[in-house]
Amino acid sequence: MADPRFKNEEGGNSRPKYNLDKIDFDWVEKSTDVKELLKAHDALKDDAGFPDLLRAVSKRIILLDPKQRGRVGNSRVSVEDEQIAAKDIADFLNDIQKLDSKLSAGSQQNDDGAIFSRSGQQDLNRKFAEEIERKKQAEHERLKGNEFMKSKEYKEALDCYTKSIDMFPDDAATYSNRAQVHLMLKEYSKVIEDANKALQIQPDYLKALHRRGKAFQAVNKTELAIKDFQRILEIEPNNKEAMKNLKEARASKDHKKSSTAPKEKTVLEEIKEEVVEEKQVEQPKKEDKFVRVAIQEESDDEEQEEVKVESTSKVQANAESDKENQSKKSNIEVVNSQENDTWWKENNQKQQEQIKEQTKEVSAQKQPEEIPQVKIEEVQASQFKRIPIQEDDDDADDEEEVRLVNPYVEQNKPIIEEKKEEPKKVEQKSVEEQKKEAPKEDPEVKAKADEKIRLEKLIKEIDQIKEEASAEYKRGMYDDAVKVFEKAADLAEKNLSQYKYYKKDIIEREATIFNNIAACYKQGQHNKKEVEYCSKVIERAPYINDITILAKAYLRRGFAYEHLEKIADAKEDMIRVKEIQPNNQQASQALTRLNRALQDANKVDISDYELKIAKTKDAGNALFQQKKFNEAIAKFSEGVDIFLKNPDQLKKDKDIKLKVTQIYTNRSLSHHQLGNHQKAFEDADYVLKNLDQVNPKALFRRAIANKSFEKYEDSVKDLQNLFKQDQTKADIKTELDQCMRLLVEQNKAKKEQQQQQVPTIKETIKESVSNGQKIQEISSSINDLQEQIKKAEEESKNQEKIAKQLEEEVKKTSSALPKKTKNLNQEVIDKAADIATQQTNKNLIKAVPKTAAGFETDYNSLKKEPQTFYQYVKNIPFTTIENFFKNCEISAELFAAIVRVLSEYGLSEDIKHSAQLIKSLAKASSFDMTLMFMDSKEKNDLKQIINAIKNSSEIENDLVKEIVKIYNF
Amino acid sequence: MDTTDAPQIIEHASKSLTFTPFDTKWIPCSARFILLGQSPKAQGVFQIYQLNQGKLEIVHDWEKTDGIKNATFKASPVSIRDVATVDYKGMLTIYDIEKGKPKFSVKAHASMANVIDGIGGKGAEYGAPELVTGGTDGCVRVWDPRQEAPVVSLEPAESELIKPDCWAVAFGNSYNQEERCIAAGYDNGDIKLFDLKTNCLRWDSNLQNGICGLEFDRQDINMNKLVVTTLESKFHVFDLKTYHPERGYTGLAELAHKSTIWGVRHLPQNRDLFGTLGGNGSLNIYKYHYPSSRALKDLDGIPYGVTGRLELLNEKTLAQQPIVGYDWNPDKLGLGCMCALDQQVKVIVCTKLNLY
Repeated sequence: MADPRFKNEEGGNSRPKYNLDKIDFDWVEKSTDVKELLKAHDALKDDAGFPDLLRAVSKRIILLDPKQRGRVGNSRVSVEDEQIAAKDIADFLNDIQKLDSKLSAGSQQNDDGAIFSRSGQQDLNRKFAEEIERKKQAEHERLKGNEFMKSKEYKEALDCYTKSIDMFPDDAATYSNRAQVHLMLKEYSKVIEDANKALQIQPDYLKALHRRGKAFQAVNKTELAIKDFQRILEIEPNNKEAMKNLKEARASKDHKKSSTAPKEKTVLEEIKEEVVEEKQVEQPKKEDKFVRVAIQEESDDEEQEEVKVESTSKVQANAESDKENQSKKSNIEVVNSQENDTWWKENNQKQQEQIKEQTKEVSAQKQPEEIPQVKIEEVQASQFKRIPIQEDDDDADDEEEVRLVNPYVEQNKPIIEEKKEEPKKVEQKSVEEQKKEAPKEDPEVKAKADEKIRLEKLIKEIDQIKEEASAEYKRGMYDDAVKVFEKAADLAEKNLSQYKYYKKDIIEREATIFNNIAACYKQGQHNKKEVEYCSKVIERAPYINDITILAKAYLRRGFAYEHLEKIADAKEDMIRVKEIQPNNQQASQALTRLNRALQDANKVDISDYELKIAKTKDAGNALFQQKKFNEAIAKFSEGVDIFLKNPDQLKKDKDIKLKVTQIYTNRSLSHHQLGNHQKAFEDADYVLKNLDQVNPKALFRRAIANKSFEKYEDSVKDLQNLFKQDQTKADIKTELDQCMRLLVEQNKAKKEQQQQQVPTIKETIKESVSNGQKIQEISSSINDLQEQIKKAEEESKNQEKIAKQLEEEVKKTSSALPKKTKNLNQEVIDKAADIATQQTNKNLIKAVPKTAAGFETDYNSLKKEPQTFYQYVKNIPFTTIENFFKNCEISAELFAAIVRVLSEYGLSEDIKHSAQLIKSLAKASSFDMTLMFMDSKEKNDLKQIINAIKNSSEIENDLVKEIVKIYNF
Repeated sequence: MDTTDAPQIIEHASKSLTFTPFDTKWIPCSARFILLGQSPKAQGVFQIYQLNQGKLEIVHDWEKTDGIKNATFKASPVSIRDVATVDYKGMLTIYDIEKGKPKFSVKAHASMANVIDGIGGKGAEYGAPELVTGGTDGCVRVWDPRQEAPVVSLEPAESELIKPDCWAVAFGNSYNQEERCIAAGYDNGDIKLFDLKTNCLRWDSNLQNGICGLEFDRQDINMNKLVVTTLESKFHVFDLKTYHPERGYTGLAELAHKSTIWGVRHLPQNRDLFGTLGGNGSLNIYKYHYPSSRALKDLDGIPYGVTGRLELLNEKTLAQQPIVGYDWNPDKLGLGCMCALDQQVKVIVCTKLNLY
């Protein structure tokens, strides 16, 4: 088929095949890189040869990142699951098949050819089908509503639920869901209304009960709230959410009881008082932004008064808590709250017209069906405080995300509430304070009371602003939310000086705001700002009663630090959180994560360093190109400083090492350009010693520096190394030649004496070198020399060095000779060879070979100097010689040479030793063969020796006999 | 490690076929589905299966003149369950599923028609029923089943030498009576979003690889997300909430299936869950997680969309050949029927989707 869809490309052929060899159980255990593990997983899956390993990898991945579960999870289905699914489907089939057959029957009757539309007939089946259709559609709308809830589009969700209810009003779930939307939108009266409907259809519908409970609590009907929560727990004793809410509700109820008792009779007065108070406080102008409704005092005084009286009286009625008229009561609440809010907006001139509307609304609210939704929403929103934003709310379930609390208990003491444990503390404290202070009727108390009232007002104001900010936050406009929050913080800050007794409360409030700002910045990924604001909170620690605020600040700052990769700081903060709240899971998780990160910290740091170093390098290079050497050096030094902060760790990273090496070599070059050879030397030397032993640039630069110090040996050494790496570079060659010449000249004086000692060798080598054919021979002999030099390392260092250099030089020369003979100074080679040979030979005399082969090579180098060779041989213990040749033959040539030197020097110098040596050599394997290969001259020499031994009086008879026996010619 | 909560894909029933199936669709409000395809004799096959106690029983088997490529129930109300199909000859035919008789037929495309989608069968407030078809002639045509002529026809320019092949069409954005959009995907990687209310092209883009399937996450809401599947193992999710005059809609791309991705099907019960149909015979179930903020502002203060992330909930190989047809049961969460080119029809159950 030509259809390209049938091409089964393997997901991009370019993907390299994963190397399975590196995967083993150890690697899996240690690996923390989920991406890498996933690659391994896919590769293993394709390979299918290692099921256990595959399982281990999957386990590890899920451990590291549970979200990858779907990708690596076991796709095998258990029998139970299958049975459950089958049962589920069977149930569904039962229901649906009945429906289906009815529908089919309907459409068969309805066979009039109309497409996608109904005929005019009205029969039972028709009606049935329409009913089903409506139901389905209602369900569809409900599902849509659920989806909108999930994506936090509450307005749309509300529309969908309402549509669903319009189509099919008998579904408890839809009502309950709509109650949830109302709860999110803080329309508590509607929450209660919908929850009631849901409960009517389906009594003891838990979700509905729960939502109603929350709404009751939010509108201060604590008693009823408690009842609802208790009911949930009766049905489902382990419902944690309900337990928590119940606890909260009880706490606030206790608080209410203790604080309201003496004041109960003056509800009306209190409200009036408050009104007066609020008039005095100047309001910021921005208020008209979030409350559209306002009342002009002069024009509508009477009406207002009326409303107020009505509302307050009803509030009183409410206090008696009539169970049946719940929905009605909540409406009254609305009226009441509106009252409160509107009072302090009287200065607003523009909204005169709205007053009438508003009063209409107020009266309209007596009929619950006609409540204009939006307005009430807004007014209510300002009354109820929304909890400060929770950490990590993206994934949290909507229901849990926003917890509603009532900040407005009857005595108007606001409760700052972040977590459930908290309200108790704050409340109790304030109550205690009150009790303590109450009996003293002195001016201080009065002042305090005054201040308290002012405080309440201020806090209310701040809360309003906060509310607005929260709304922005909810909409995702984090920048705007920050601005608004900052306003609130400013307000708190400004007023701080005016308060004497309640400073703490304000500061605490301020801290909460800062916490929220930090949360906004977190969303906007401004981690530094987040840290700043969290620090502000933490600064205020001494004033903060509520440790959860502090814990939250630390936690948030910890996360921010983590994002900023300040792992150590983050860890510190997390530890603090754990101190404050030992059970904080987020902190625990973060700590484990951070500890792991600290282990990998090198990597993290390194990438940072790498960047910096690279920057300085580039900057330096740019300056260098402009020939601003001093500036370039400064830049390079910066990079070096960064590196030197942590050289050991950074060295481990290849890239950094490379870059640092470049910086050093470049700085070295810069120093050269400035003529500062000492520094250039230091840099190059550092590179070679610490970073890269064979770095060509460093070698070259060190060589040049050495040259300038007249340390030609070192210079030559470096250049040789360099030359070895790359024989094509002309500048190296010329430099090498030059240095060599200089070196030779310098060393001439020293050499002269030594040269005299070994003139013969000099000649021979000269010969051989000039005689191009023997080049190979030289090279082999030079190789031998090298080995020997190594053995003679204990020898005087200076001599050795020279020798080695020269030897190397010669070696290179000889290897390069076929091509480059012309380039090299013949004289230099000769001299070098001389010195080398002479020097090594000297050393060799004292050396003892370790193997037969070593012995033989030594012989090869010494064969031109019989006397030295004799000395050499004499130094070797007999047992060593015996050992040498235990398993291998002694070559005829070597044996002959030994015999020759023995006959020449041995007999006269130490006949005893010679005899012993002869005897030892005879023990070599296949010695007979060796003897057979000797020519007559050599045999004569041997006979001479034997005879001398025979005649000698110094040697024991046994030994003589033995020798004679072996050398039986 | 709670693997127990992960959704499981279970094969509930299956049946081997003697013809090549192309599409399968549940009949609304039933446990029956239609299976469409082409027989070895190049004739159309129209079958209806009933799921009964874990078995597939064939209820009807009708032979049609031409191989049937694709079908939809979306334009039909529940009470009148008519199916609209397109076939090899480019005919758009609406069948009565009880008798298998054509109720309406029109030559929709010059050559083979590939794909059809419908909308509007859900009552007056969702607008009139309409069908959209896409064919190898490169045309996308919108049909009102009461008229013989297309309401709208989007045709490739005459100047184009190689006419693109339209492989995918879908309706969306139908949140009230008037609003309606169609999205169309072509074999050259072009994707077009056409507004039927204003009769203008809203968005035009190219995804490099030929587009095999696309679907709005929900037809009858303000358009929210669009999933587009393509050749070369890739699919895209576009956020359609925010349109930026320069950047267009923001999308994310994901690799999957290691082969052509033939299509995508959103759950009728949850728009954030969807399955993708792999050319390797596997079905992947994804969940889309919204970002914390769905729009950000660029330097000029113009908002642009932000995509969330995808979570692969499970994957399962259900066939040896590409899965070409798949449908979620609108009445039962997690129940699906599928057909693959290895001549198999299967009913699968995906469990625990209610937890997502």
